[in-house]
Amino acid sequence: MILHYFLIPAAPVLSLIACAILLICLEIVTGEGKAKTLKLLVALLGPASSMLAVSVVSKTLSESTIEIVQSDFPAWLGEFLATYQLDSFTLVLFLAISFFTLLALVYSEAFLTDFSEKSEIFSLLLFVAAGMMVLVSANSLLMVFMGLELMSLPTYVLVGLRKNDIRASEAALKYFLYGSFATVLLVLAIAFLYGSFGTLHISQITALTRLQITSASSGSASLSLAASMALLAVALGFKIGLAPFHLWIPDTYQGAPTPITGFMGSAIKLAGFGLAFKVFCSMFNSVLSQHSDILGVLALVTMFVGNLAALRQSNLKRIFAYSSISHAGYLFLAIAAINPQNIQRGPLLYYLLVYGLMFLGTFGILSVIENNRGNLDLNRLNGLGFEKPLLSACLLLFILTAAGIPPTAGFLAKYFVFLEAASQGKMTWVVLGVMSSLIGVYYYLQIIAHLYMKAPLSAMAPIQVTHKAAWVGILASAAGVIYFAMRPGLFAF
Amino acid sequence: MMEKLTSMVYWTHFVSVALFGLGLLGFLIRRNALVVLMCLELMLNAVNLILVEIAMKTGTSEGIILVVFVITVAAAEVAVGLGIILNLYRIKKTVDLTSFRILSG
Repeated sequence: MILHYFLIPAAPVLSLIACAILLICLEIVTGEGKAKTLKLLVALLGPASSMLAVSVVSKTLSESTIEIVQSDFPAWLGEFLATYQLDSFTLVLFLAISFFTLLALVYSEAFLTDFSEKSEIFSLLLFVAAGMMVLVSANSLLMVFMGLELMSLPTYVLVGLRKNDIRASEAALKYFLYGSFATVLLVLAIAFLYGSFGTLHISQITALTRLQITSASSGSASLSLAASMALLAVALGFKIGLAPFHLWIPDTYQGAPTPITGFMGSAIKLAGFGLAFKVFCSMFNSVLSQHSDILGVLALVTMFVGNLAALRQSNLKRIFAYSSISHAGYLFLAIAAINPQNIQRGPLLYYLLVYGLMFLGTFGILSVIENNRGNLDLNRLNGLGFEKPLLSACLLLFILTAAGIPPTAGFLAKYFVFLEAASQGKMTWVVLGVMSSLIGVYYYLQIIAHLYMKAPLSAMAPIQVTHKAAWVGILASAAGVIYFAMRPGLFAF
Repeated sequence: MMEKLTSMVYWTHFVSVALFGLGLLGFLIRRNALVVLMCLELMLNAVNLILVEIAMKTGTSEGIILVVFVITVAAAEVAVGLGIILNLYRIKKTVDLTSFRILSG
């Protein structure tokens, strides 16, 4: 029974943590820089076994609705089970997290060639993935806090991996300060919620907020609710990069090692939005419609700030950092425009997966260019279209997806979000969102122009994909993006 | 006894708000990375105090459990933060936040 109720639901997280700890032990036993293949295999085993565990969990979930009979349960097990919640949305997020981690591991193996202690990077990545899973499946604010910290702390280290590079350390410091401040605000928000409801369980808080709203609550209670909601919005805004709180994103994304940036932009955003969805659509479901205008303005400001600031960048990493800010705006619009009576997870999930695959694929290609040509200024792309046709075709696909040009999955993702907003009668949001995408098209097309229409700079090293594993990652992301474009109705729940 | 407890709750309330305000002020205006780190810890501890106070008022134990986790995580956070700051000091020989301005634009 313990196997059925404890080990199986926790298996996706436990397998990641087990592999991470095993990697650390292996490093101690075999010594630094030895048994590299074995360490890589153990690292890849983490997300792979996690995916396997997700399929087992989904089978047990569909077979038996877990009826908790309190009597034949040890008390700790009941308490434990109440701290997290697995449903189809969470399981899809688990799969996505495992897949993104797998790609990030492959990229780290292929591109971070200047590190001898790879297993450190691998185990840190696995810990981050475990934290993200805890975060998206948490049903208790305590677990939210633990998951967020398990996700953030190894990421600070990963950003500052290049210890002798002042830029990487500066990026790590900025990320650390902003991230820790967000943590403080999150704990404060948790304290507010705990003070008003006397519990940390999210489902209980959901029920209590609904009760409070229906029973014409007193002013101070709704004030405290609004304060905690604002604090949570700011804390989440720091983590997922919403507009007034996005300042760290370009600097951190530029300073971090390129494969790590790809991982941060895809997986951490995914987990952050998983939490944002939980907070705004589940926990504050009953008060969402009152505050949806504020959330919508936040989303619109974010997408305009991202797209306008990207226009005057010349470094590819910064361009895609600002692009990721604008995408955070669209994703947040999907949350702001949700109908509280009939929650559609489809648009958000579809956008998250398409955007994550696009971002990871792009950063795989950027890593190839950076490793061959030293830096990522826009002109490093000149003439690449004819030198490396397949690589450039993949980059073209990712850029068209990011810009939202019609046949790609990026267009469909934006279309679903706008459709959701339109069905809620928010036509202003739709018009402004489309305008912001049109601004964005300019800088995306600029990248394509450099790729295909500019003559290559003289004395530029030819591009070589030295590590064949890189191709696996890039082509897998491209295949994923194409697959999503062909299956627009994938998430109808 | 009860009267004593309520007055105590009032005072912890005051102290925690003051601590949080001090921490926030320091976080926003100080330029020394170590002091900023200390201000972050101050804010976290202020929230811890609030959590303990609420747990006392409501008679539930969840808040106190959360405090234990927050303290543990804060220790880990300081370890990471000090590592980053120490590394920057090794490269630039300063911990002044205004001197870290390479990434911008």
